[in-house]
Order: sequence, then structure tokens, then C-alpha cells
Amino acid sequence: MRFQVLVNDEARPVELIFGSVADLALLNRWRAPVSIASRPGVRDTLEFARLASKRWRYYRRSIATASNLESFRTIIAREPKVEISFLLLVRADWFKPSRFLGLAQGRRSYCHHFILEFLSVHPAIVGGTAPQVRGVGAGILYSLAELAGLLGVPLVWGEATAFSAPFYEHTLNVRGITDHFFIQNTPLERCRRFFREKAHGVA
Amino acid sequence: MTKTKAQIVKDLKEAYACEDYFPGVLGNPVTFAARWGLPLSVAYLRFKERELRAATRARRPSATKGNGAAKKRRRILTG
Repeated sequence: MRFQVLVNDEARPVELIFGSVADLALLNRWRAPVSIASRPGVRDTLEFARLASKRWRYYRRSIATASNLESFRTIIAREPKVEISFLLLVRADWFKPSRFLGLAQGRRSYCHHFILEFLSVHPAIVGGTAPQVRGVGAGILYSLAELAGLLGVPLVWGEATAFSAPFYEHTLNVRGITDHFFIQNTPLERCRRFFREKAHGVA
Repeated sequence: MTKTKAQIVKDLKEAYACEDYFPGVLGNPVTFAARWGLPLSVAYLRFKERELRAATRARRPSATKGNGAAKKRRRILTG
């Protein structure tokens, strides 16, 4: 899958891939420039990248792991009630600090829902260093909705915090999100439409 | 119909307007680590400790600065 983000107000393409063991080494090399290390969210995003790697490695040893869209479909067809882990990475060659700009880690539950365990963006982007990149966080969410649609998953859900609830409210166009969010029906369709029409995404 | 560059940028700005509210990470590393039994890094724990100390200092009234809590005064009764 691919979609576009804004870099200093210009459109640039990014790819959304399923992460592999080799990619974890690159994720663990995410660093925050010293000038922005104390900004809100920067330390959290670094810690999250490490935790995501650990969690995904743990899942890889214990449940099925999707390595691409086709393998996702095959695993479900073979065992409809199986739990499937996934790690989605946003990749671009033009981003100097790392090949990976962001990640989403989650799983497909036995009742065919997606659980978004966490989503994180490179600390240099969170800290606002040049170049100014916009759209990685929302782009991942739109892509996840598109992926859900392609697999016939009717619901994506996850935990929200005081910091992330306003983001979900604006992204999903849903009011009153508290400590959880459900992306289904109209908000799911909206995210898929935004992926295809506004973020110029291609599945 | 092919979109112009300006139209594409306009679309992207519309799609990503919500990013003004994006906190960088969606979730809480501390609760996530606790829920799944994952160890937080030593550096991050030190960072959180510093943050907590600073927050506690800010909340606690100073013993030397300011007037402190109101003191009860004994009423002197005469007569």
C-alpha cells in the first residue's frame, strides 16, 4: 500500500509495509535529535518503538503473524478464528533520519476485528524538526481502515488516552471519545474514503 | 481526471488537518508495558521519575515561600 504525506507543504509518497524481523533493528535505531529531546511526546515515541518491537517479537513466537496482505488472507481462510499479529511500517527513502517514519502494531482478534495496540511516529517528526512532515499518524489510521476494508474487518478498536482522544475525535469525526474508540460503519468508511481520495492512497 | 499538484496538496491538507491534535504516540507506554509485562528502558524510567518529581514539587506548597496554609487563631475571650 502507499499514500502521500506533506513535506514542507509538498506531496511526497510513502509506502506502508508489513514489518519483518530485519526491520526491527532499524526501528531500534530511532533517535531523537538533542534539540528536541525534551519536547512532549518525543521520549514516549522512542519508548513506544522499543516496546512495539518487543511485543511484536513476543507475538511472533506465540501467534500467527501476517507478512503481507496475501498471507493475512491465507491465514484467515485456513483458520477463521485465529489471532493474527501485524506490524505496519511507513517507509520512505527521502526521510534522512530513518527509513521508517511511523509504525502501527496490533492484531486481528478471533472475531475478525482489528485491535490497534499502538501507533507511533518518528521522534524527529513529533519534535517538529526540518523537514516538517505531516500526515504520518493520520495516514496510518486511514491505511489501517483501508486494510480492514480489504479483509472484510468491520471494526477497528483501541484504547484512547487524554492526549489521544482529541486526535481520534477529529480524525474519525466522532464526538465524545473517552478511553476507547470504535472505528466502524460511517467513521470506517470515512477513513477509507480519505485514504483513497484525500491521501491519494493505493492499496 | 488528473489532479493538479495544487489540488493534491489541498486534499492532503484537508486529510491531515486532524494532525494538529496528534500527540506523537497513541497510547501510554507505561500502562502498555505494565499490561503486557514488558520492561521499560532504564533511561525512560529515569525520565519519568524526573517528570514525576517535577510535578510533585509543583503541586506541593513550599515550606519557605509564600504564606502557606491558613493558621487557626485562638479567639481571646475577655470578660
